[in-house]
Amino acid sequence: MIRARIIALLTLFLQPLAAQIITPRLNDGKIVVTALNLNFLQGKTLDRLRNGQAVSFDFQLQIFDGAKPLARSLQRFVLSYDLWEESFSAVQMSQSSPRTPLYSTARLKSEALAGWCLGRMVLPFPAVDKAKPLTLQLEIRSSGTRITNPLRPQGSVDLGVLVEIFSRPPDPSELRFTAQSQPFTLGTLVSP
Amino acid sequence: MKCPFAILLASTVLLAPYQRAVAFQDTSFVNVNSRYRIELISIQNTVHAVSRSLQRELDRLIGRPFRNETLDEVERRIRAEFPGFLIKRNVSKGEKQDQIKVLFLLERTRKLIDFNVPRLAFHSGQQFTFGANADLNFAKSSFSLGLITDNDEKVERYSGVRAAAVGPLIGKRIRLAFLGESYRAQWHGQSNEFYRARTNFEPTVVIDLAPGLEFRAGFSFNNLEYQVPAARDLAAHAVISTLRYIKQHQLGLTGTQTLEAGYNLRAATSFLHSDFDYRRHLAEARLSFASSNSEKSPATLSFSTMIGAIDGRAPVLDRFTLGNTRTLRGYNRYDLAPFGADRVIHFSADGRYHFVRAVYDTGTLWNAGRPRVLRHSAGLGIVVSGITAMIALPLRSGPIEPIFLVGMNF
Repeated sequence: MIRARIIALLTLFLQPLAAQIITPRLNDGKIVVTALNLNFLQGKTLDRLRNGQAVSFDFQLQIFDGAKPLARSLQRFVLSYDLWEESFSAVQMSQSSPRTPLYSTARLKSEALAGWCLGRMVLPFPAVDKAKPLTLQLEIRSSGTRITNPLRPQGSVDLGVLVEIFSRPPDPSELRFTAQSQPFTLGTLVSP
Repeated sequence: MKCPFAILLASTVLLAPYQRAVAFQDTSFVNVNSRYRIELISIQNTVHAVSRSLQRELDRLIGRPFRNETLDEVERRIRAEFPGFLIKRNVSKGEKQDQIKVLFLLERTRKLIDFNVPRLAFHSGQQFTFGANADLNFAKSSFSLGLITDNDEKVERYSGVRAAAVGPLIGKRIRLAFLGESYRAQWHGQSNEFYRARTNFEPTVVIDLAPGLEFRAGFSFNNLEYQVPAARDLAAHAVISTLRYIKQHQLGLTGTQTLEAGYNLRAATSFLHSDFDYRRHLAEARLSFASSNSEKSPATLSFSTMIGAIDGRAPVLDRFTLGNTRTLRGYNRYDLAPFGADRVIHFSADGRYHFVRAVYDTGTLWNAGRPRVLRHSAGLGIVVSGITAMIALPLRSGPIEPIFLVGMNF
């Protein structure tokens, strides 16, 4: 009885941590990610959003074979908070033509926001042994108003800019959020 | 041929103001709030007036779609107009549906630890005056420790340390302040009235009566250590009260007019076991005009006046002087009243245009029942990075000895 209570208590405390784990899924020959209750909005970044500002977030999703990255996907999303409807909206920016929106959504709660953004990211199926243990890692950074490369126009979001952002160490003033999947094999994805 | 030219001309004229207003990259599609309009946009500031041009810029945005880029531009303008202030932007739902309120909050920026030099001056007749402070600023309270050697303000040269603390007493408007000072005195000449050292402890209550209006009241416990004719300590304990007012008004599009006025009463009575019994009244006023709101305004003009009177027997410490870096700048204060005086009237006009500065001072100080002489002086100098170098001359017949002044904050 006592053991059951301890397990229940631990589950209660560890539930928020466990919820930050992302799960890989195979969709149309590509790897996609699902995440439940992934809440990356916090602190000053959330305050900025609630103060009517639009904040851009750079997402990097990588698949690892141990420490070796096999594939990655990079996307920029601009989020804003509707002051009247008290909900979030998100815009995925195009990498081929800067400052052009690709997809957008509105009226999302903060918990559903990461799910929508992750739904727009796909990883190619890596050519590795299907029994090899792999992990997925998600990194999110809020780029804020910082201009990463002064030679490029502000707001430009091509792949080079995103690679440069994730290559440098995070600025203490910017938001950085990471989440990791449990180890998995491609075999389990193909035949769950 | 005329038609395309007319269309081009018309579109240029019609679009010019619009282009000016949206001379930034339009990113309205990424912010969901862009569909709302600005209902109210204002600056919350209690002391300084907002310039008419900035107010017009704010008014122009009312009814326009909400754009962060526009607000960034406005914030840059506010920062230029109010240097030394931290600007916080508060955006919230408006009173009407689909409208937004924008409020810019101005807070004076204070470093946690701040080192500053409030006094630095050289007077060719009185040598150096120097004061340095270290301030420790917390959210609601502040502490200050300073070293000073001053041969400008009082009859004596005083050198020593001062410490001050200010903290909230009741709410934000009523504060408690403590000042502690310990100085050694050096004199020009000899007199039984000259003390060797003095200490002062001042507990006061500071009340913000209204924006820009401050009242301070408390006690001053001064101990004066004499050696001549015999070693003894005398007390000059007094009740002190000060009323100060400062208000800045807008003048034209960019200029400002600042009025500062103050009245100080220091009443020493035997009730506080004081060895002196006197009342010292001092009223000061200053009206200044600047061509811009910034401290680096290219042109300034100010008029200041001071009237003081002492009723009773006051120690040399509290007597009035003229002939220093702020008053009758063409004179040496030792030549005018080496022991100070108990009546004073002074007027000063001070103008600066870019790096050229000119001053005119006139005033008189005398002891009650004695004749008074009105004196005039003028000075011309240059100002570089806030430091003034000036030659001042007494305006009188007879031999003229110029006074050379260098320093800041005078």
